[in-house]
Amino acid sequence: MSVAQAMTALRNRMPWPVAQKVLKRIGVRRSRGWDNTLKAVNDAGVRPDREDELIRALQEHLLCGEKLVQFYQLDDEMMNALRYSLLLMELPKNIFSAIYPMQVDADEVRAGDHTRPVLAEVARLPFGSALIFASIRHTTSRESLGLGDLPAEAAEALSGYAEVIGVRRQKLEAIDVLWIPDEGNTIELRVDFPWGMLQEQGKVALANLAAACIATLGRDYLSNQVNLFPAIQSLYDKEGDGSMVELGFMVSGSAQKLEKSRRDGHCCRTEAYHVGGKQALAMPIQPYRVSVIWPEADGENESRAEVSLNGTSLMTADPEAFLGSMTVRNCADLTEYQYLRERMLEHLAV
Amino acid sequence: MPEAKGIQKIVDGLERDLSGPLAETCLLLVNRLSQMPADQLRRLTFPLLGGLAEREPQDALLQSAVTALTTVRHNPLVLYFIFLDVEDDREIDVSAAEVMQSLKDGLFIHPRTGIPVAEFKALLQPAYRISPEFSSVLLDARN
Repeated sequence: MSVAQAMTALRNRMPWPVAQKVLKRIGVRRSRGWDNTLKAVNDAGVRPDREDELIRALQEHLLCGEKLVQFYQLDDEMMNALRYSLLLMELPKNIFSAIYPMQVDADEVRAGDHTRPVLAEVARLPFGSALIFASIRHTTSRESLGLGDLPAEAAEALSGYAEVIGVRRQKLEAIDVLWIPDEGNTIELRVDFPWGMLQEQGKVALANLAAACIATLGRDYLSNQVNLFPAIQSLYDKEGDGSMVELGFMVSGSAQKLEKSRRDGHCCRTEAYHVGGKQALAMPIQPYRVSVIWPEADGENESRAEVSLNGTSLMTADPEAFLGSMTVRNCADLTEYQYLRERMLEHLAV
Repeated sequence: MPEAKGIQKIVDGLERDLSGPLAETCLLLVNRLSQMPADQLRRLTFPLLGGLAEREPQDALLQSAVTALTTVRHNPLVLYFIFLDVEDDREIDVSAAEVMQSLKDGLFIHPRTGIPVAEFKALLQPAYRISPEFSSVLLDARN
């Protein structure tokens, strides 16, 4: 894989703030924005001793960057069987496995075939192993359009609107993962979940990945899905454990509240307005949506990796509420992801 | 004192008609609810009521007690349903009578759009608010 290919793949997948951090760590010179950075790298190249690191950064991002995640709990027998089956796993030949971690060319993506995930790689990595599946995914995303970006006539016709939303349909190469940890009995399904992708499409992708895993492994290891909803209350209750940058909750007076504090990373749990408002309540609040960052997750630099548990307000009225998936964004590498995973497993008590 | 009479009337009725753990749970709920502002008792969910009664939200006794508190004879609580308007990410209150009719007909009309909703049961959850009578009792008590 060439540096140019790796950089293009990163440009297609990695949020710019994450890329800045990763490229800085590797020692690749950054310019203003992706386009200028790509141009600078193409012009000046990358020091040979940095090339492997760049490719490794891409490989790690394929496994943990911008994902929709489900957890499954296995018993000891199933876990042992799954780990053993990895030893026997043979990598099939297909267009993805032939070039992984490179991505298939744009013509293949445009053709839009290969929509079912197929095994592209089996990888042993720090903290665990991964069955890596690839497919061409058709996605729909909703994006805000700036009137200044539109032709003058269109901008004038739409000038009465405060916001213009465009629906983008695109095809992309998706990398989905079955993660099998070295320790513990909680495995994960992770599917690519780029910004703007609809939640429903993510759920379909998870279902397709689950089907591919069962077919590949010849056994259903995914019968005991972990309910993430209890972790919302647990995270809210544990002040000081990460910074809660988004919090949605209901109050018994029937008001629905959504608080955000991403700008400065201040924790919603201890923010003055929230604390003051809560003191005026006779009943506890009922959180249903939280996003948490753990600035220390990176170990060296401040992390902005974020876990979001997006329940619905209706779940707070359901004694048996079930939330199946969570979103992980802005994760730079496997070390950061592992930190988030461990925090979540503690809150899930699995 | 008039406020004591109002709450005492509810308590007397529960003690007269119910007994054992069911009565105890009902009385505990009424006692706890009566100490709270009426305007904060509009969306009482089983998890919240379970917290007040010191029982799990799925507990059968809790559910029986809450049901008892919504009967005609003892109605500190009124059952209604919360409908989740997914597109708008907001809740809409729907009367219990309307939901019962929808379950009977197999047809639920979206309160905002007027269009039938498929799989509507998944978008409805029961909740409770205090009754106008109980609310008056609490307001009288505060006045």
